Parts: sequence; C-alpha cells; structure tokens
Amino acid sequence: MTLLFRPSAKDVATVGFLMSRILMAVGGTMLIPAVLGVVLGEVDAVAALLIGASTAVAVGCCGEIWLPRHHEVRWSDGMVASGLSWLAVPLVGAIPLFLSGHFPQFLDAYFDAMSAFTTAGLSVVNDVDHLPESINLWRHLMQFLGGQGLVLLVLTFFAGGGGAVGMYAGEAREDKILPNVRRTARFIWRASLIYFAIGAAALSLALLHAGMDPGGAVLHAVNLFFAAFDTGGFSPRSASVGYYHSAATEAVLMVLMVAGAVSFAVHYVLWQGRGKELRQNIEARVLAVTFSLAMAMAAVGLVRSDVYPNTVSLLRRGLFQVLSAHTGTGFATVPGTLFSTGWGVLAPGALVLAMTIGGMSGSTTGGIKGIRIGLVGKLLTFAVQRTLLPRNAHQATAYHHTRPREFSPQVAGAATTILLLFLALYLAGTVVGLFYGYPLEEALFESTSAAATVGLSVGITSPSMETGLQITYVLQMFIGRLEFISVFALIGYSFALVKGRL
Amino acid sequence: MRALTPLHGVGVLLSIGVLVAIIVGGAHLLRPTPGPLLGTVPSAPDVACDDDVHHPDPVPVRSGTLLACPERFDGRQVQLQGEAIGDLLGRGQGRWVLLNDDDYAHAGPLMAHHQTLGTNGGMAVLLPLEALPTALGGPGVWGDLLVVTGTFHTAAIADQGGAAVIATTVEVRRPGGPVDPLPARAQRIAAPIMVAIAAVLAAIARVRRQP
Repeated sequence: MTLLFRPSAKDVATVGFLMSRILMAVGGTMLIPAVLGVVLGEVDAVAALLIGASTAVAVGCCGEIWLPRHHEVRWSDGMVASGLSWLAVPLVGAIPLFLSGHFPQFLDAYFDAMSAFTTAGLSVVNDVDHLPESINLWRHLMQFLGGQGLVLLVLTFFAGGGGAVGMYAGEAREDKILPNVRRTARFIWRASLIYFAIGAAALSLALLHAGMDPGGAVLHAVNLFFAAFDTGGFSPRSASVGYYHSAATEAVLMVLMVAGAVSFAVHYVLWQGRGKELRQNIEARVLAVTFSLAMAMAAVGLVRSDVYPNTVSLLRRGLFQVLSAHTGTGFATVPGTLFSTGWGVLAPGALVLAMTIGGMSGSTTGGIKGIRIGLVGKLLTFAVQRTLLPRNAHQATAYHHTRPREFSPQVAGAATTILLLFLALYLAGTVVGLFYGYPLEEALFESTSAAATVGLSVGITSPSMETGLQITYVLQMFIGRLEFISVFALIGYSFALVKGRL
Repeated sequence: MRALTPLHGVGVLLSIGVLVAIIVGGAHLLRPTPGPLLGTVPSAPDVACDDDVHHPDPVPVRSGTLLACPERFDGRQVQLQGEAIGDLLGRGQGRWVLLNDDDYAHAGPLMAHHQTLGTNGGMAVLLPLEALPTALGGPGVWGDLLVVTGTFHTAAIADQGGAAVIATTVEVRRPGGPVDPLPARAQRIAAPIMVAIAAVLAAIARVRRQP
C-alpha cells in the first residue's frame, strides 16, 4: 500500500501557477537576444526567438488566467514546481535553437537547452561557428539563468512563504543567506551583476589585447562571462577558449570560474570583510586539498606522457583544464580528442576526479560538492577515533561553514546519501556508454562530465551520438543539477496523482 | 478543495503530455526547409590514422586525424584545407586563425542551406603576416577556403602548448564573402501572430490580477 497522499486540485493548481510564473520570466528574458538580433539584422533568428518567447509567455499567461491563485504554498508544492520547471523551461528554451536550423531533431535542441540551463556545457549543435550572434547569446544567457537558478529568477520578483523555501531548496540551494528567501535572491542577483560589470570589462580588454575588434570583443566577453561565472562552459566558437590564444583571457576566466564555484553564502561573508572564513570553512579547505591533489596528479601524468615541451606549457594547459573540471565549467584550451589520444591515462583521470567532486554547495557548480566530501571525511575520522579513544572520551561534533554548525548523525547521513547517489549516477551513465560500445575510460569521462554538469568531452557528445545515450545524458544533467531530492519529489508526486491515498 | 480521482490524475499527466506534443509538433512545422548546398563536399582522400603507406611530407590530412593520432604527425609537414574562421588573433610575426576543415567549409554555412552536416572541426593555424585571409567565416559570412602547408605540433611552443600548425605557405583556393541566409518564411509569418496572441493573453492575465 502506498504511503503517498494524492494531491488535491488545489495542490495541482498551485504547482501549475508557480510553473506559469517561471515560464513567463524565462520567456521575457528571450527578448534580450532578440534585441541584439534586431540590431544585427538577423531576421530569422529574431523570429525564432520571438516564437520561443511568445510560447513561454502564452503558456504562462494561460496558467495565470485559468488557475486559481493560492497564497499559501506548501513546501512540497514548491519542491515539485521546482523539479518540473527544470524539465519545462528547457522545452521552451529549445524552441529558438531548433528553429535556427542548427539542430536536426527537437531532442538535439532540448539536449543543448538542458545542458545550458543545468550549466553542463555539453553540446550537439551543428556549425556553431556560423551560428547567428543572437542565438549564440541565447545559448549563453540560458547558462546564466540556469546557474543563477530558474526559481531564483522568479523569487526575486514574486513568490514568498513556505512554498518559496521549497522551490529554493528544490533547485539544490540550501543556504538562506539573509533572513528571507526573497532578500537572499536579490543579494545573489546584486552580487552577480557586480561580477558581471567587472568580469565582462576585464574580458573585453583581454580580448581586445588578443586582437579582436571592439564589437566582437564585447560580445564574446559577455558570452564568456555567462559561461564562466555560472560554470557553464559553452563558448562562442567550436574551439572553446583555445580559440583566443590569449593567456590574459584564460587568467580572467580562471578567476571567474573560481568565483562561480564559491557559494553565494561564502561570497556574502567575504563581502562583509570576514576573510578568515576561507581558512575556517570546511568546504574551502576540502576543495583546496582536492584541487591540489588533482593538479599534482595531472602534472605527473602530463610529465609522464611527455606531451608538453616545457614547464610553462604544461602548467598553462594543465592548470586551466583541472580548474575548469573542478569548478564544473568545462572550458577547454586543449582539443577534447587529445585527452584520450595525447594525455595518457593519469591526467584524464585527474580531470575525472576533479569533475566528480565539483565546487561548493550553493554555488553554480555540479558534482558531489566539497561540503559532502568534508562531512563524509569527518564521519570516517570519527569512526576511526571511536575505535582508538577510551569508551567515555568525548568527541567534538562541530564544523564551520559560514558559521559553526553541529555535526549530527542526520547531517552525516544526508551527506553520505547524496554522495552515494552521485556515484551511482556517474556509474549508470558509464554503463549506458559501455552498452553503446565506448571504451571504459571514455564512457566514464563523458558520464561524469554530464552528471556533474561539467561539459568537458572526449568526443562522445556530438550531433551523431546515439539517441539512447543522449536521453541518458539529459537525465543525468537534470538529476545532477537538482541533486536528487526534487527529482524524487516529482516522481513521487506523479505517482501519487494516480495511485496516492486520499 | 475537492480531492482528485485517479482518473483526474491521469488526465493531469495526459494534459502535460499533450501540451509538450503541441509545442514540439508546432516547432517541427516551423523549422526551415533545407535547400541545396552551396558547394560539393569532397570525399576524403587524405591520409588516415590506420593508413600503412608512408606518405612523403607534406601529408594531406584532416584536423580530426591529427588529433586522433598526434604522435604520428607531431613535427611533420602537413597540408590542411579549410575555411578561415572568426578573427585574426595575436601579435608579432604571425596571426592565429581557426581553420575549419569540416563539411561546412566546402558546402557553405548552415544558415545558407539548412542541412545539418555535423559539428565543426578544425585546427589552430599560425599564418605568416604576408598571407592573411580577407574573408573570415562567421554568422552570414563564408570564410576564404585556404590550403595551408606547415608543421604540426601537438603542443606548439608558439602557443605555449596548444595543438597547432605553424604555416609556411598559404594558398587561397576559394575566396569567401557574405552569403544570403535561406529565409525561414513560415517563422517570419508565425512570429508576429504568436507575439500578438501572447500580448492579448498577457493583457487578460494583467486584468485578472487586479484586486
């Protein structure tokens, strides 16, 4: 007998109403690239973007008109709305991509839209190097919106109450930085816009220095900022960041990738001038260790494979790739094929390790996250200590994450569960890759990249990839971005609609 | 508020399915119809990774082959044919360009024929200053088709470790220039209609929201 309660008509209407708001907000943002298209005279691209925007706004308005509005939104309704919105928004986001003609099937466009919103960065686009600038801007803007959080976009302007907290938590954000969710959302946008002003300006200067014309430099800078700060990894050119041949551009992007991998809660603390947070924070300490390990592993691997003629080359290519993998961005300054044909085994292994872990919780990165590695490590340390210490010895049970927190069995259990679920997700995609005949190393690399929403590729992800594998990666990106809970809530809700108890 | 019956539940799920089908079906109706290619994509006479024959330098090869078996070509003279893309970058004795040797280099940009021929593929090339292309590929522009002869490096010192070809000779096989996009007529008609519908619905929703 099922333990799930069947949702009432009010619950369903509430979820629909919240979804309407999210769709309308996303539809509205499509007008930004449409304006660029008008300026550049890209008639068909503007038409495609307007059709996408109109569809999203029309569906959203239908919800607003016909669904009754309820002021009390339950936590579970918010959670389900959040999960469902991450399936629905890529659907409307894919419309301009598909209408551009650069994707033969709608599934291909949906794959890229899901990859963009989840900030994965894997792409099956055809001929990106001739893609209209406005469509390219939309690809990158989707990464910005997804990285910031679709729900966050709406919370900034609309919802509040218990449902708001559910929606907020539903897209894998646990930390309320300020007392209420709406003020937290506004802080995140304010901080991001300041980073945007500084980051895009620095990138523009670096690209101008690299030899680009001013218009192109600004356009590429904006796109690259969206992809770097929100750890998305799309690039305006097929050769990714290697296209620019610019150490200065790579340096600015590395700073932005790190900023994107830091949680907004830590950003807030640092903005308040509490610099020692970085020394105390369990997550920052874990990530410093894991990054050093991955970098050392990659360096040894690259020295062994004897690819690079000198230390400067090795460090420039190796450091950028490891940082890109660890922050979940997916930019590349090395052609992806070379990871499997020129980098040996150890260096790509370091990238897989870095991708598996990801950045900080509450940031725009994917992966297991530093906090969970830290908490599980603490759990193991406790277990070892317990066997060595006298029976009546007291063990300290606290950790620091923006403030001192209690390390309870519930916290340890939750961290371990999510860690195991992530490992299962990486493994599931690898098995599907093996099923389609790819070698283990390549299947593992690509699966980890999708599930941890990184975007580095050894070449499996391409317009000719198998449909089954494509669907698998779409699901991995979706589940990986939402970190399971709201996905489970959505599945349970769908089941309860038909089989739930009254 | 009344509870839903299982039939209602199925109805909700089906409604979502129907809405998705309408959106996807509608998008398919509006997708641009493919037209003829602007040029012919050559069959691949170039040397591949598993070819046994020891080809004299320069080896006619594609970027995909260079990256698939870099150890075979590292430091050798190679010949690439492809479209100059994007920008001329860098300072000093040469300029970097992305040379795409994919099918679009020969068939024309996708926007001109709407036939999907796969992803882009190319190689970074350092061109001498006296042989720079005039048309660079991008949105609405089909770049010069170049034949480049030079040395391939898996990790070029000139690029601090990037995979690249350092060109010695460059020949323009086909001059590039702007291309007209194949118009997507159905979209141009549908867009204003859909904008009008969305605007009406937004106005109704706004009125309904008033207390």
